[in-house]
Amino acid sequence: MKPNPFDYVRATSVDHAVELLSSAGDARLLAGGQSLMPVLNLRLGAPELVVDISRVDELRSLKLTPNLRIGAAMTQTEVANHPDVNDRWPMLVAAIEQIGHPQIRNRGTVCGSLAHNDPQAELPAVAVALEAIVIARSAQRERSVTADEFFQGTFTTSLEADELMTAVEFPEPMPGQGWSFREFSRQPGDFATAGVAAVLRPDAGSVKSRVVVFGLGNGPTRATLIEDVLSDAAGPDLEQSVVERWAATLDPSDDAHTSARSKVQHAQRLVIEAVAEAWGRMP
Amino acid sequence: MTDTTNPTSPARRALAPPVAEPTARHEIAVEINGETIEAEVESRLLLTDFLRDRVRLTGTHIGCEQGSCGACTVLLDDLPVRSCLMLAPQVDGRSIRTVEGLAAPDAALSPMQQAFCDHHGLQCGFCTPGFLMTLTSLAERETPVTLDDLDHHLDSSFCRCTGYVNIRAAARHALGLVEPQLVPEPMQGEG
Amino acid sequence: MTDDLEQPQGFVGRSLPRIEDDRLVRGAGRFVADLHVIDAAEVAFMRSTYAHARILRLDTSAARSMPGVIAVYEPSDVVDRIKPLVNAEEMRVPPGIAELGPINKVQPAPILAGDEVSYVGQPVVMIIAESRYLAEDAIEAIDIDYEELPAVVDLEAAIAPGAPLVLLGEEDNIGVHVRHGKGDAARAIADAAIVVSETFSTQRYVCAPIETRGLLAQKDPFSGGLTVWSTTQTPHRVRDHIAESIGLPVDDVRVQSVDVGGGFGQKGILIVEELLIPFAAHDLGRPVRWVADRYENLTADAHAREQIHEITVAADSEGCLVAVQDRILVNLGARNMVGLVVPYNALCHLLGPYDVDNVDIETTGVLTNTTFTSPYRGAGRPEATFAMERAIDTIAAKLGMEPAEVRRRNLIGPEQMPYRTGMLDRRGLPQEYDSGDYPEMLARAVDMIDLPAVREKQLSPRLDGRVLGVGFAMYLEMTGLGPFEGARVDVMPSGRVRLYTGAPSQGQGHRTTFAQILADALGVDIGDIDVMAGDTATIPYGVGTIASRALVTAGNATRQAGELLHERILDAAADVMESSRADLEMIGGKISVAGTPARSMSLAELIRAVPKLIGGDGSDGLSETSYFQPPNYATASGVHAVVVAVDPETGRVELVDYVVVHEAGRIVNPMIADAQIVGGVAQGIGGILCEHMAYDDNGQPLAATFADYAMPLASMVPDIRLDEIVCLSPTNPMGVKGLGEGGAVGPPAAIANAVEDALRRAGHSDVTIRTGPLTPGRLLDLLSAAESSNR
Repeated sequence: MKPNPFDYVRATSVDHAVELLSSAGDARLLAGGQSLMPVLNLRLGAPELVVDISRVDELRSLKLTPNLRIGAAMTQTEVANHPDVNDRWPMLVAAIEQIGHPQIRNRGTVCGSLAHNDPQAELPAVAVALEAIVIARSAQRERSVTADEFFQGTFTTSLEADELMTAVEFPEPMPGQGWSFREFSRQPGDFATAGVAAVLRPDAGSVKSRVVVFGLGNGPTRATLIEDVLSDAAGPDLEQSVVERWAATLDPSDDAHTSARSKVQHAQRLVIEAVAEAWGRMP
Repeated sequence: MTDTTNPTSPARRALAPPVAEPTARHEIAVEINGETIEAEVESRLLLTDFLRDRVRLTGTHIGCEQGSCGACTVLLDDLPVRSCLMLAPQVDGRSIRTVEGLAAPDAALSPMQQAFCDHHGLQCGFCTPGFLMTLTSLAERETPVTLDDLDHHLDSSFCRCTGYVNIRAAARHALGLVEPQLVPEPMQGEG
Repeated sequence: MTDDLEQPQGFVGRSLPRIEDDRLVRGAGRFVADLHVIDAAEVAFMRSTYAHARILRLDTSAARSMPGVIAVYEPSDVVDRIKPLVNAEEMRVPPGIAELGPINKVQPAPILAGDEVSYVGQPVVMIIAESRYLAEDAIEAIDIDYEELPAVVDLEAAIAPGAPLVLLGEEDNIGVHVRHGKGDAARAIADAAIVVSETFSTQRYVCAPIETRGLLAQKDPFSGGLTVWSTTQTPHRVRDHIAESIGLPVDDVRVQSVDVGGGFGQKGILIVEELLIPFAAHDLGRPVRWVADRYENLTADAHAREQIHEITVAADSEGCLVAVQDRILVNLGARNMVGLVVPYNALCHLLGPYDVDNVDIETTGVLTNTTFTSPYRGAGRPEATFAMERAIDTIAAKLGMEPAEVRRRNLIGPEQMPYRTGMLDRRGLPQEYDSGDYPEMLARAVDMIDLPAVREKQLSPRLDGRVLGVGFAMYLEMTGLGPFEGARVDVMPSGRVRLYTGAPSQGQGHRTTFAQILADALGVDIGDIDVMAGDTATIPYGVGTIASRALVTAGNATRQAGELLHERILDAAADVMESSRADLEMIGGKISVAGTPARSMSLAELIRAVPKLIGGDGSDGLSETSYFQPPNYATASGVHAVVVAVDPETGRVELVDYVVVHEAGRIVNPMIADAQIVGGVAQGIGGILCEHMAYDDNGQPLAATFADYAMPLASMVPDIRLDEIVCLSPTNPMGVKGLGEGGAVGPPAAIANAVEDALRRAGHSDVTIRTGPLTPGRLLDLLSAAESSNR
């Protein structure tokens, strides 16, 4: 299928892009296009204006100090291939490598995936697990949003219609941190049926953690019950009863491919594996 | 076999759209297989359709227009991408290689193309250009390619005819990867 | 290779690289969408969004004035100008089958849906515009009001009493019914020591060739006739249907197969779009092209496979089968498009290679408000094999015997060949298997998969927690369907040789294999032959490439024509060279006096000399056309054996080892033959592990894109290990058999058997695999259900 008619403008700057967003009636941002184009090609969306930000210089930036700051036009391949990123934010690279296929990652952007917030996507969970900060700009202001506040539900974020996400920042990893990223998908390169992104670190005699489950339907969700249990855990093995109690709080739906029951079963197994792996990675 | 009905060298000026579209039209200049092509394109023209219909390079095929099947894969600045998920105006000033650029007409096939012929890596040939572009970028990669890298890249395109086995063999050969034994290894992990 | 077969003398039997490949790898293929025809208009269809509805109001006036729109055809614009579509050749009931008293309802497909739409995707309006983009824009300007009607989607619900009618004009939802057998199955079952009754089903899945269906039609500027470039597998049938439906003289319609990107049967039956496009070209006087997009291909082009088998198999205490009874339901979709083809194919292949005296098979084709179904690689055989082979394993489990051993005890032996089953084949004639050695094939498969070693490994638990299983599937295939195919061979002015036949290729390599046959038969070098298949203007009669028939029919026709032409050439050369006919030979295209190589001429020289003969008998043209009518089917066969590793925690199935032993008579090009098997196996793997064309309860397709329709990927297909035996077919001079479909027939049964074997031997004794796809989610659900029923 072919897209509906629309106007295309290549933004020359962030200011240009946000000006277009606020003045055009129905505009969509085009960065990597790997989420937007399938929608347009099926005529499931029909914007009047497509604003291409993929070549805006300010957005084509990758900074590593003090935090990892990824501009909105940096592709997943570019970020994953950067050697320093893998050294210090290995979970991000591990997650990117699960995304689709190389051709998708050569165009798809890190920020684009976050802004799209597909419930089966990998990066939103990583952003929550690593306590990322999203930077958004409109014609009026620039603001920062924590990952916890940013993801608001299936395909929904706190971005306003006139805002452009300009970058995401991942803080310098805390010392003593262990991480794990585990995902189950039906076919190689598929979206996740279920996944867990976990970060654990010792903190004054207890274990602080962020255990984020994704794929089950609502976007990245903290497994707070698990995190609470981990805080005074002596070792990496979660008790079956704890995991089952947590699993009972999950409420995915059946879909055409996987029953809710199976999704929960995957999530249980993945959370056990992720916690064990992250624990093992704590130095 | 002589074949003269599809010119493989593109026009320097691409064909015009059949009907003027009210949406903004864009002047672009793009390097395709080493030659600069200028064109006026509509906003919504997919890169696949630009290559096929306006530049008359029909070797890049359309299989799904969703980015799933890989038949439309081309190299954009040497990286494999799904051309069905790009708009023609986006490639202004960029460099594209399609399957037609792998070998000059009447000149020898590239090693990857030759490997496909030698290993019967194609049957209907419809998915083949997509595989060739992806695998060519692997062959050009500076860092060494492992069997796992190859398997990962092979998973990025569908083939419905060959069952993949000969494609895998052709690629392994062309990439200089040692073929694992065909007889299965003893099972690992017995307790 | 067996000792039966002499060493290949020339080209037949050699794994020659393919002539087709160079231009295809260069991207110089010419598929329908590639054809550069100036002024070609493009087509889009507005299709029903309801599974069952009345069209109350249709207003295309706004669409007609959209930019770039050339024409809009509503149902009322075509209803009196194009006859509804009936795939007459498929609908034909041979006299022998008619005696069984079948039901086979003729349900012509309206060219565009008039008052009633009966499945999502049914075409309602055809828009012709300057580009596909503009045609799709115009669709959005169409105003349509539907009144939704009750829809039935589930097979069993459709034949339940009180089910809503799928088609309002019909009396019920039965499209096809036939019952056939031999002996007294009911009695034998009642008396049997072991009886197994189960329901084994195959889910709906589809061909999904990477190239979708399409065609480009153009009025000839001089003759006014119609030329159609098409993806069809059956060009002569398409020609005849176009002529008949539109009312054109059949001699003035030309259909030409071009490069085709996979067919698998889907492009082998007509759909209404294939009449509409030529009609539009004829009506508008402009070339018109339609290429289905993937959404159309997945939802609105032929579906396949959905069958339910309630099968009862009875055996004695030694595992020897005494009876098979099967009640088969086949989902025809919204209309009976291809009649008894798939249902009867399932029926007459159910027994496979087994010797069973008492058989009772009843097959019913049922309508549902879903996309119509038609043959897909195997055409009922994968479904039947799944039921029978799962039943065999169930018998084996009941007896505590090795499933391979139960098979062995029931195989028809080579000494029984040719073997009459006592039932009728699809022609309505006594079914006879011509040759084969099933015990040898099974023994080889058991050996190659190393069954004892697998059983040994299954005794110890693995560190990775996965469990191993092994499964087998055996099948046979009546290939080489008639009624005929033709070959015409011409010596061209250049001295090159052209072969024309009605059996085009969609990837099977006919340009190479047919050239190999012709090179040997004619005595020319293979490099001097050009195979041009699928052009109705070059040979007037043809059937096409379906049902594993091309090699048997077109291959033998080619050989016949080649041999006849060889004689004709030598006759002509005898005159030209003033030599005795008996002294001449032609090898590699060079005609010479035996023993005197200096006295020779090339074909090019001969063809230039021939018209100058005086007193010729009128047959001086160096051309021959020959048709081959197979006297019977050529029965090919195969054994698949697979070792799987199943992870009971994730539900994932990995194919650790996959073996196919096949038998297809004389092999023309082993490389191509092996690849046909492997390609089929991959489709079978997809069918059992991941593919599902599902509908929701309202008849909305759930897998309209490849995001939801899961295709098998390279990492899911291991390097298949192949072996073959050769049992020449006595039914054709070349001794060949068809093998294009067999690869797809075995995997669902073999893999399901292996997965159940794995789970049972790992202690999940209550798991019964009854249907696919065996996705991770479904396997986990199966395991969970089995566990809960244990508590």
